[in-house]
Amino acid sequence: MLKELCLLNGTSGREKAVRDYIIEHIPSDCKYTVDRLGNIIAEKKGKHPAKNKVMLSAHMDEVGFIITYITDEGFLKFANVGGIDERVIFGRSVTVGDRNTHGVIASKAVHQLSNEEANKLPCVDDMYIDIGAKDKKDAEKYVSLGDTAYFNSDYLEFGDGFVKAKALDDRMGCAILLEIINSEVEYDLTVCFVTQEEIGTRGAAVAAYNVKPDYAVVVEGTTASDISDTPDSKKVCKLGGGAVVSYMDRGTVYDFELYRQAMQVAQSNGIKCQTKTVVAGGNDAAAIHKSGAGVKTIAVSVPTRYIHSPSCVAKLEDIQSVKQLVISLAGEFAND
Amino acid sequence: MEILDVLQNLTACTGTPGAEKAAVEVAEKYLCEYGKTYTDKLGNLICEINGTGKGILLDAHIDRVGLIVTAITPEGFLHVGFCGGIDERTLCAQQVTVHSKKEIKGVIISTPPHLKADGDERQTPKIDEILVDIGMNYEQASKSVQLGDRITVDSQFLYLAGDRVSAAGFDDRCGMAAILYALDILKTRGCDRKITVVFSTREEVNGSGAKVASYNADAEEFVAVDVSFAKTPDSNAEKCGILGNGPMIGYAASLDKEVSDKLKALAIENRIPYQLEIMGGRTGTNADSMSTSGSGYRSGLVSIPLRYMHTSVEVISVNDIKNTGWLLAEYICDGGVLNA
Repeated sequence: MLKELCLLNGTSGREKAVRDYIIEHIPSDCKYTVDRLGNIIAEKKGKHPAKNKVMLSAHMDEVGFIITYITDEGFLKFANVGGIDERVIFGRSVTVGDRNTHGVIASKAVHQLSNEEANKLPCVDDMYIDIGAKDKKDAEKYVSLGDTAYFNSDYLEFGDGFVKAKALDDRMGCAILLEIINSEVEYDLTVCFVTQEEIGTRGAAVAAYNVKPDYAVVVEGTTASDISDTPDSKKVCKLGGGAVVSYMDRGTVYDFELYRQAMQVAQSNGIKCQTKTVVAGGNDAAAIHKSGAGVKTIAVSVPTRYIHSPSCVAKLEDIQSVKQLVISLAGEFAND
Repeated sequence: MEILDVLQNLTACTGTPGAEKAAVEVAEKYLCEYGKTYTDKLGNLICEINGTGKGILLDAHIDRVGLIVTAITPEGFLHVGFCGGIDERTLCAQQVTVHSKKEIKGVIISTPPHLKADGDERQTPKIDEILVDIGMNYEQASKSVQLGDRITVDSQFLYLAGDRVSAAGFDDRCGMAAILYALDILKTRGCDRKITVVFSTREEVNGSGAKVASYNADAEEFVAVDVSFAKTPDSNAEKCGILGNGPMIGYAASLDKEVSDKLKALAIENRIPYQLEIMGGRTGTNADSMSTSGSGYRSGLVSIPLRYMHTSVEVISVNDIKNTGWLLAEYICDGGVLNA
């Protein structure tokens, strides 16, 4: 399921393929609606009614590109959808538009660069996608302005239980919530698959307003920098260290009691759990916690290396830890 | 001969400088249809095609750029060195294969933005900063990987618009394809010229493969077939060919002008699309080392225009490869410069 989800293409605002896949996998006894922003809001019946309304949320969108211009020579200019580092864009192949046109992003040969050019990558404004078109007219047969483009990247399991794919952020969250919605749960839950996280947590804001939960658990991927040569204090979190629960990131100062409760729940259930050592990243909690009259919100994340690149890397056992902790927290919050 | 199949099969195999065996095995299956094949002390794949007249040598290099494992960190990541002049701007977050006893998959690290100093965002990573993440700890990594193992960047063979395709390793696997295409034409025509084909090793580091192979060959003139720069929007038109406009016939101080002139005359006579590539002294290809090998060679160079050289997304035009093969076939049929 994770593999299939990662291979689907869906930038912010173009989540249809992911939404269709998820709807197909929502069990028939589970009622769902799709709201105006394209969020899926599904009501999962538990064995017992819940005292508090609990919302679980994962985002469907991924980072990618949008075609902004076609040059006379037939090359495509583009803008990023979501935050992507130039260093993971340059030299990559992409798939463009509904006709799945292949293209590549590069520049003049390394042999022809000045010293300055060799030391610094071109910025996105200076990059272009080459689809092999002879000129503008030829390119227009394959691509229209406003088409989106995606990294070409396989799903790969490698090493000691690691997985590499594009869009692990946040198809891991989608996969976890689909597994939960397809299993038996203790208490009633509202499970949301939201849009437009990567351009400012926009889908979640509307979903939370529509759901009006008492508690929310955001299921995410978060940046891990546990690579050689990075000082321990800068590693943020580690693969294999379990679910990540943070007290603060760039979008949210989390309810400290809730943070402590999450850590406590993990410990008492024997679930591997860690926090972040750097205030970094952000997620849909930023929009959800301040929605309407306010929502007690926590984020539970899978530590992910090289996030927002064509080769995100996570560890399968961490995904399981996140799933276990989300299930435990959902039960706690529902009956608090 | 289905040229796209040849290109796919040749670009699918590894073969960094000094470790070309996998590619040699694939290429030999194609070459052995035309003559006696063998490898020499430097691993060059050679095919001798018996025939009349003074021998003509055709060369394309079989190696492609990659990386080499130089150390394993205490956390199990791999330090690497260059194996040929790979475009290091393109390496962050690439999926790679480590060619150990078993093939091991990995990802080149990419430092997240919060760890980069301001103004550092677009800095090309230095070779010391390029690590390969193979998802193993030190103990696991040191059992699976040996220092000196080669690494290639994984790529897909992509069909672009028209006759353009993209893959890693077209430099110079498409030169090999052009030579195979030429041999196919010559066989069909029943041409009986004496030919030696060399698919040479180690071009990307120092050209030693071609130097040794040409020393051994029974030939007095050669045409080297390599790739050269095709114009991209950001490059200088004066220093580039144009993708799709046909083989680039080399003129250089180090090349034999009669060979260049003859290639050009044959292109005109047969209406083969062509363009000229003019270089000052040497050519930066195998032609440089081959022309002074042993008692020397009359030397020619034909290049296939290619965009994004030494990346994993090199782009070429299939028609350029066919036209290059066609031009080579005409040159050989006509006896080169020594049998004319």
